[in-house]
Amino acid sequence: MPEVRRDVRVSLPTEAVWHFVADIDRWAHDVPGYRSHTAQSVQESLWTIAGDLGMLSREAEVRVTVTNWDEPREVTFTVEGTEEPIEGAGRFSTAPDGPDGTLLGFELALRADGPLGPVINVLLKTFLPKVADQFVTSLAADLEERGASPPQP
Amino acid sequence: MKYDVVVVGSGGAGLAAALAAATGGCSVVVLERSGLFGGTSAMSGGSLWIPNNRRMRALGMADSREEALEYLRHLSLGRVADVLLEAYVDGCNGLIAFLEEHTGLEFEANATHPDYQPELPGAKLAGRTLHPSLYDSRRLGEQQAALRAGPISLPLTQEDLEAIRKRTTSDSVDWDFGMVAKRMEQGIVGLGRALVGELMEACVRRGVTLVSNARATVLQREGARVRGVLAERNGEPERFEAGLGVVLASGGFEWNRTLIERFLGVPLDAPSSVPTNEGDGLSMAMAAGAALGNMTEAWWAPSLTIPGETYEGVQTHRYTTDLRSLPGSIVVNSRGRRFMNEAVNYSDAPRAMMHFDPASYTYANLPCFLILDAQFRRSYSIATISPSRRTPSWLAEEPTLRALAARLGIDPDGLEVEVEAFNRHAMERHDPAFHRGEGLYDRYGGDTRVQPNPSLRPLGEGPYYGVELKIGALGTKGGPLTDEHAQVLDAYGRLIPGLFAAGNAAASVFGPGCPGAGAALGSALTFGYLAGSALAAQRATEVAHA
Repeated sequence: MPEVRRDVRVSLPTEAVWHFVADIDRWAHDVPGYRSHTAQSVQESLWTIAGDLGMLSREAEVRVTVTNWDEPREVTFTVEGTEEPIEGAGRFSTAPDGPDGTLLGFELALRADGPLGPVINVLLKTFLPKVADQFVTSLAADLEERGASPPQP
Repeated sequence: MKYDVVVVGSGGAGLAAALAAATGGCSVVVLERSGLFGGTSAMSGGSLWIPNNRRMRALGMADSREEALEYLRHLSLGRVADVLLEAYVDGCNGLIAFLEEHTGLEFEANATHPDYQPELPGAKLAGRTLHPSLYDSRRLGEQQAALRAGPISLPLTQEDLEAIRKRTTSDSVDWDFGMVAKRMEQGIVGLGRALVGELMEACVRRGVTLVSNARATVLQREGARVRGVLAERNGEPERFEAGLGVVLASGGFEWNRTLIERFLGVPLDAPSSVPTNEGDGLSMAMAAGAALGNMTEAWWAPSLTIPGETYEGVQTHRYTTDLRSLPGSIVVNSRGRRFMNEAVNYSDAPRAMMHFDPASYTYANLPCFLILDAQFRRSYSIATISPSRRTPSWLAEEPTLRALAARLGIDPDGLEVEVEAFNRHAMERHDPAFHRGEGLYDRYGGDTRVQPNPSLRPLGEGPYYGVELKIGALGTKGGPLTDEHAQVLDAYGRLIPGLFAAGNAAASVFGPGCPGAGAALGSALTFGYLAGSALAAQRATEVAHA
């Protein structure tokens, strides 16, 4: 299964990082290709993402389900396409790095099924690292800029 | 920068011109507006329509120069001079021989695909379409990443596509996409990418300079003679001098709304080519006083749109073939009425879509809609969705025809009456209104398990599905008129010294017609080759006299 892991350090205490990421609306736009999301419940949300597999970009809807919320250490979640035969799992983790810093870890594994599954899985090998790089960079920048502030109404 | 030949555009026409000129000893530069080489050719199926080719003869399929000319005369409706038709019919096999000698290309004849109007005199039931084999794109070295990929660029051959198609309509044929995945990991490419990859490699080997992100916008002239171009390269102006000539091979104008409205005269809303095809070559040719021809024509294609599906950041469109010819589908206008044989080839189908009704003063068949029944949905893939997948939001699904009509904006009474009449005749496998399934091309696109008419059965139970079809195009095919060597003519019929045009940047040698699979590429490469050969001959003459 194609998978990726990225780590980044932000200059924020771990508590502030968790306070930020607990509110999806504050960082949803950091997801590459983000179009929209709706919370279905505390654990479940539906996301519309434009996936760029090479030259073609197509919107896909995925269901993200939080399977474990272990603040302030990690959140694990599953991903499942509602129309596309894609499924996977991910993990977001934090660890203190000094009194004012936090190490963020992001992991995501995705796999496509169906007749075209083998082809899409080859494309995912290129797609996932790009997505992870963009997401982690954007999220870290967002945290540095807005993480210490309360959310805007 | 000074060269013998400047080629504007890096699709099949441009690369064939560049290679022919370079092989003849010319120094050549190819200017590509985008960051990737290959144009719409790299996005295409990679097939070339080559009548009377030796590969079809090897398969026991007879053809002749006279039959090819007879077919093209009918197809072009008498609008193309014989000298050009002959240049194509005589030159296309010279092109193939040239490519097989100077590139790694090896072609095979398609043994099953008929010409698009197989009932016309001189048409053939198979063999005239040649397609390339796979190509290892790692051979391009540092240029590998610069080979354009289309929205759906899989490392397949045309034979693979035929097998996948048969799998859709057969219970026994299987297909292994794991093999395709392996090819991808090995850098193997197919179809249009294979054709362009081989051309690129050969060009580089012959010393052709390939320059990307260089948009040629102005022809430089010395009196009447074209002496080069002014291009914008990475945002900065740069002159490229051409001692012998400039070849305009920059594609059509299907993405330029102003030129579409000025010339095409029909609502072309769904192009599926490279979005940089905005008529740069046409604009330069017009500024040079070129005579224009075929300006109302395009390689038409009825297309559907999946919202949010983009290519290079622009909404893209998918042209339809089997969706209209497989049984269980019909196409209706907003009054619920059929207006054409849905199974006709994709290039000619839009002619019915663009019918203008003088009484209502509207395009009476636009919008139009592809309507499918539940059995179709269970049996065949529809664009991105296989039968087992959930129906996405872009494909309307309703339990009844009336509900589907209401949702799509079709007259519900009209649709019910039309389907009832259609079904009554389809029970007898007969379509008296439009003769669907009677033609040889119709049957090619049908389901051979459905007999006696592979393209026709009554629409069955719901739920029913529908999606709008638009007038799309693989490219426009009007532009400067040329002579048989692809040299551009001015408004008075005189040659413009130093100016050539090929591919969709020129008036198509087929006029309004599309003879068969690979017509666009076949004519593009043939006239690119003729242009490059003419320039090489000029150089040889000048060298001999010097």
